[in-house]
Amino acid sequence: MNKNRLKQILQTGNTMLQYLFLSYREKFVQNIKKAVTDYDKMVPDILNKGRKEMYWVLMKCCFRQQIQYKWNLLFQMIGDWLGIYIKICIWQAILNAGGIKNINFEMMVSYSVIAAMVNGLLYSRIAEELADRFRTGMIAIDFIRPISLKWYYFFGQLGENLYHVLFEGFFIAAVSFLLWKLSVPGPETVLIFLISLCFGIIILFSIQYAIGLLVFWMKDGTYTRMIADALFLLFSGIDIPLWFYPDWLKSFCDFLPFSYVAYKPIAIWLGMMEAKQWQKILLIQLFWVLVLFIVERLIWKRIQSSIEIQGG
Amino acid sequence: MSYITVDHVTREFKSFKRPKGLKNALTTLLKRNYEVKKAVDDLSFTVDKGELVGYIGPNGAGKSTTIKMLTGIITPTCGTIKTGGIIPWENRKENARHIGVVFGQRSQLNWDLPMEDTFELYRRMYRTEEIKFRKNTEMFTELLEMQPFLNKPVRQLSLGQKMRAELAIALLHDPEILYLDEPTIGLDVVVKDKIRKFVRELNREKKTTVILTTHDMADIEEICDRIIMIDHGTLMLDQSVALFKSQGADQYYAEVSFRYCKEPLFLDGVELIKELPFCHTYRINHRLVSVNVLLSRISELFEVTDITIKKPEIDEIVRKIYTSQPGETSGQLLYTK
Ligand SMILES: Nc1ncnc2c1ncn2[C@@H]1O[C@H](COP(=O)(O)OP(=O)(O)O)[C@@H](O)[C@H]1O
Ligand SMILES: [Mg+2]
Repeated sequence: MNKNRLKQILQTGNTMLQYLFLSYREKFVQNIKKAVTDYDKMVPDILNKGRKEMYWVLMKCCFRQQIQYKWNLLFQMIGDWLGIYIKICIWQAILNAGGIKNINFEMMVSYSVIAAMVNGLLYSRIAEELADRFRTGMIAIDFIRPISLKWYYFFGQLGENLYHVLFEGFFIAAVSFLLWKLSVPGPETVLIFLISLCFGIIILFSIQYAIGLLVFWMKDGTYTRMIADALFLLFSGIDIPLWFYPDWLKSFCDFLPFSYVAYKPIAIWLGMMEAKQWQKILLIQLFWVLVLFIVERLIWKRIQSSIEIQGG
Repeated sequence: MSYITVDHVTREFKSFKRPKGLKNALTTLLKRNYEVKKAVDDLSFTVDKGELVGYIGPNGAGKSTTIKMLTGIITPTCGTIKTGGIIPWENRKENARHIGVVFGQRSQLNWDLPMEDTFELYRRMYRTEEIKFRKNTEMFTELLEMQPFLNKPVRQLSLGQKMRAELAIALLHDPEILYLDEPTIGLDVVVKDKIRKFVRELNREKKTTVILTTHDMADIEEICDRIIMIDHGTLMLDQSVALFKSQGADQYYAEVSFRYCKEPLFLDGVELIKELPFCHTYRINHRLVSVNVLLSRISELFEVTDITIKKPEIDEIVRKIYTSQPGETSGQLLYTK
C-alpha cells in the first residue's frame, strides 16, 4: 500500500513538474533569446569609439575625485600595510609549526602582497550604491542618461580602484618585493594573470550588480549583500589561500564563481598553474561571465515593470 | 501628429499596509496586504513641438509620476506614451539622448568634481560634437552667469549656482524636450528670474519643447503658454495661459491710499480684504459694481493720495480652484471639472 501511495505521489509530482516546465519553457526560451540579442547590442556599445572615450573620461573623473582625499590614502596605506604584515607573521608561524607541501614562505608572502593588490582592484560598492540610490530615489538620475547602468557603475568603480592601486598598491608592492626579495614571474605569466584578473573583476562586479538589482524587488538589500560578502570572503581565497582548505572544501569552491575571482588568478601569478590548467581557468571564467550576464538580464526583465522611484 | 502623446495612462503603486497590533503584524509576514494606489489615473493629453507647458497640481497629484513615465524611468501600469515617436521606457537609452531633465529635488552633478569636468563627461556620454558642445557651453555660461564657479567643486556651490549648473548640464546635448520638475524650489527671486529668462530664450532659439512642474505660479506666468492641471492623477484642466487668466477677470483689486477717511467703502460686490492705516485694499466684483460708481464713492469717502487697480494673478486663480469645494481638505482639488 505504502509503495503504491509513494508511486502516486511521485507521479503527481512528475506531472506537475512537467506542466510547470512546459508553461515556463516558452517564456524562458524567449527571455534567453532576448537576453542574447541584447548582448549583441551591448558589445558594440562598449567597443564603440565614442563610448570608450566616455568610459575613459569617467574613469579619469573618478580617479580625480579620489585625489581630493589625500589623507584617506595615507591612512589606508598604513592600514593595508599593517594588514599584510600581520598576515605574513601568521603565515610564518603556521609554516614554522609544520608546513604544507609545495608551499614555502616566499610563496606565502607573494600571495599576501598580490592578494592585497587584487583586493584593491576588486573593491566594489556597486551593490551598496545601487541600494542606496534606490532608497533615496537618486537612481532616477542614472535612468535619464543614455548609458548602460551596469557599465557606468563598472567603470566608475574601476577608476576609483585604479587610483588606489596605482598610488597605494604599487608602493606597498614595491616595498614588499624589495623587503622580502620576492621574485616576479615572466612576462607571459604576468599577461595571463592580468587577463584572468580582468575576468575576475568582471565576474565579481557582475555578481555585485545582480545583487544590487535585487533591491528593486526586495526593497532592502542589506542581507543579500551581507551573504554575498561573506561568501566572497570565505570562498574567494582573498584572505586565506584555498590551499589551506581540506580537499572537499576546495572542490566545493571550484563550483562557485568566487575562487575564480581571486584565488585562481593569484595562483597563476605564483606559477602554480600549467598551460592546461590556466586555459581551463580562463574558459570557466568566461563561462561565469556569460552565466552572470544572462542572470542579470533575466532579473532586469523581471523587475523592469515593477521599478518604482521613491520620492517626488 | 503631436510630438508627445499620453494616451489613457494609468500608473498604480502598491504600498504595504502597516497593520495594527502584533498579531496582525505576524499574519502579514505570511500574507502581505497591499494597498493599490493610482498615482496617475487614465490621463491623456498631447503636446506639440516647441510648446511651453506648465504642468501643475497640488502636492501628490501625480506630476512627478507623469514626468517619470515620460522620461522612461518607470513604466505605466496601462496606457501608452510616445515622445518623438519613441516609447520612452522601451528605448530608454535612445529616449535619453533626446531629452534633458532637471529634478529640483535631486542633483545629477558629481559632488566632488568641478562643473568643467562634469561637462566633459557629459559631452562623451551624449556624444555631442565638439563644435556644438563649445557653442553650448559658451552660451549657457554667459546666459546663466556661471563663469565665476565653473572650476569650483560642486559641493562648494550655493543652491542657486547648483541649479543653474543642473540646467546647463541637462541642455548641453541640445535635447528636443526639456522636463523640469520643480526647478525653482528654494531659489531666491534673482536666480528664479535668471532661470525663467533662460528657458524662454532657449525655447525661442532652439524650439525646445518644455514641460515644467512647479508650485510657483510666477514660473508659469513667465515661461509657459499652456497650463495642464491634474489632481488625484486625473486631468482637471488643459488650456492656454491667456484663457486661464481670463477666468479670474470678473474681479479685480483696488488699493486706495488716503490722507483721511470718513468711513470705509461699503457696497454690494465690494469687499475690504486688507486694512492698513491710510491704505485699504478692496476686492471688486466688476459685474456688480461699475467702475464709475466705484470711483465716485471713493472720492466721496476718502481724501485719496494714490489708487492702484490690480488684476488677479494666476496664483490666485489656482488657489481658488484648489480650494473652491467647501469641505474638501485645503490644497486638494475638487473632483468635478
Ligand atoms: N514609489 C512610490 N510608492 C508608492 N506610492 C507612490 C510612489 N511614488 C509616488 N507615489 C504616490 O503617488 C502619488 C503621486 O505622487 P507624485 O507624482 O510624486 O506627486 P506630485 O504631483 O507631488 O509630484 C502620491 O500620492 C504618492 O504618495
Ligand atoms: Mg513632485
